[in-house]
Amino acid sequence: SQLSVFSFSNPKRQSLDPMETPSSRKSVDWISKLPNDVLLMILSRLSTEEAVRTGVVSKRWEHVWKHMSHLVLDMRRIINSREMLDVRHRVATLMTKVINNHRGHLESCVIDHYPCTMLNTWTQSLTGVKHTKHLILRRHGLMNQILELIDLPSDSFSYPSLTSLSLHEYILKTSHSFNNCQNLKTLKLQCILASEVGVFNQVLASCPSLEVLVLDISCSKKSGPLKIDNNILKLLQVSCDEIDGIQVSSPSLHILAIDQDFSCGRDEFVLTSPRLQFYRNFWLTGTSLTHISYNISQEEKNSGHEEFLVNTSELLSISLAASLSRLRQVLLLWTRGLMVELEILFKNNKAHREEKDESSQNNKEPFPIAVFSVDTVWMHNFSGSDEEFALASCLIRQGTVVKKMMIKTTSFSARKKLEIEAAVAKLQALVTKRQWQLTIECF
Amino acid sequence: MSKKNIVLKSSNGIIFEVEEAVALQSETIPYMIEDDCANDTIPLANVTGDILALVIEYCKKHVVVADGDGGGSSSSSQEDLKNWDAQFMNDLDQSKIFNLLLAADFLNIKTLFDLTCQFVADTMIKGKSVEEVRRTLNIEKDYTSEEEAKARQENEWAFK
Repeated sequence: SQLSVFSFSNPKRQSLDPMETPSSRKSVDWISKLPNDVLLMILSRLSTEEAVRTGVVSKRWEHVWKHMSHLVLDMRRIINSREMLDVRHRVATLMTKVINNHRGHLESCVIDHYPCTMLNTWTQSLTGVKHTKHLILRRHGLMNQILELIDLPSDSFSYPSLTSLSLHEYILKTSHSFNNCQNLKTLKLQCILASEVGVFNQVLASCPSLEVLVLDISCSKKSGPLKIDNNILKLLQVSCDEIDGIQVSSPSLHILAIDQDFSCGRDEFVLTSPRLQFYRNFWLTGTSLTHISYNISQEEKNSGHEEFLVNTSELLSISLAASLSRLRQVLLLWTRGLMVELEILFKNNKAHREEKDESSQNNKEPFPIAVFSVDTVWMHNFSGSDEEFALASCLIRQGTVVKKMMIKTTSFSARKKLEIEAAVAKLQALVTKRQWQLTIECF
Repeated sequence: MSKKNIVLKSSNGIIFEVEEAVALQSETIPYMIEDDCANDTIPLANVTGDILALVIEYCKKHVVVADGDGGGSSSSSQEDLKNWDAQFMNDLDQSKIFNLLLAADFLNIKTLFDLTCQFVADTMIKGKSVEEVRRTLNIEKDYTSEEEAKARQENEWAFK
């Protein structure tokens, strides 16, 4: 990464002043002798304002912070939302100055602001001049303040370097600022209002390269379904209000998260996504539960999507389709929160068998202690194999599953069914007196 | 795993012999082994003996026992390691800390580099005024008062 580039670009870097005598050590300014790239790594661990302040300690430091790759500018740090517009505007101007003083390109920029008129200036400068890759714009205000109209010029977000955009609490007047967003891979629209759903449909149609889409949107009037027709979309999280249904047609989708306050009925949500074939879903698990469907492929080793999964809401139900080894990895990531339902679809495809040789050793090891607990576990394609049995028995013995473990047998042949029922009987025998709430059944 | 040893030589000629797994936490050393395969000793021209000793102490503590899962598990628990790291850094003076930082950068030992950067940021800069930062790090103020006022003005947002 960056680090190795630094090291090899300057392999003959000398240690700091080796001639220094111990007695003078106490008052030596060691840090100012560090090369800029190392100083920047230290500054990157400070808040943006602390890093900027180092610019006045001495001339050596004046320009160092200006090469940082991440900026976080937060208006809330200085004033509260009740300040008048002219005060907000003055602070916004100071924030603009920091952006202008920065040198070079930006990896990411986060701006938190109260309603002001600087949004267009910031966007132009951050995309056009700073070539920012990840841009987060968040407007904050009192509940009774009206949302801020985002009325940026056409093609505002079309800069090739911009790959990830996140907007929070704005009104979208039209979709034209999103024209030609071929490079946008991640789009998060949170608390975004539009007059009608057509605006959002137009935005999504202008972003053909989206892989991650998070939508928490609403319309001022019901105006037809939201259409998500993005071919390479992998992750979709939705939480919508006042929307006449959603039509998702995304063949690559492998994570779908529906937030607890989602307001569409089952029949208003049309999902055409071959990889997400589950039996449980948002509407079946009852109210107020965020539901995540996740098809974990074998080839995808570390997509970062697991992180998303773990950081999601506290109360949730999950449907997972995965091979045993991937399942173990993902379940281990849960360290907090109460899971209400867990549906497991064991994948026993060819890819899994090829991999089995190297991983079967691990699968027989005891399943590491799970930190979460879950009321109900549903299992599909449970074959009763040693490895799958080991996983199921660990979930019982460790008290991970609290109320119900349901194992699907009806789809198997009569002989196979007997085998699985025998395995289930063995699982039932593991239940201790203290687990009086727990039942294990076939269905 | 074979118990091969690697010999490292500091800039002031001090020799350290360590297990391969300990040395390989540095991403630079493997390249040096390749380049220098005729010679058994790897010379580290810009790391002094006292700093190299610290680097090795850190690497020995953090040596990972391979468990075949790709992930790896450490010989100590995460909590223990964190406490050990904190103590390790706390015992060092600034001369050691900044030379250790350069050594970690040169040897490309990411976790040690991160630990040291974080320690410097947290204990020497975070939450301190400009004057306190100068005092803590012995930085001489070479701005005139006017120049400093101008520099503050320039980035007023950060000083609010």
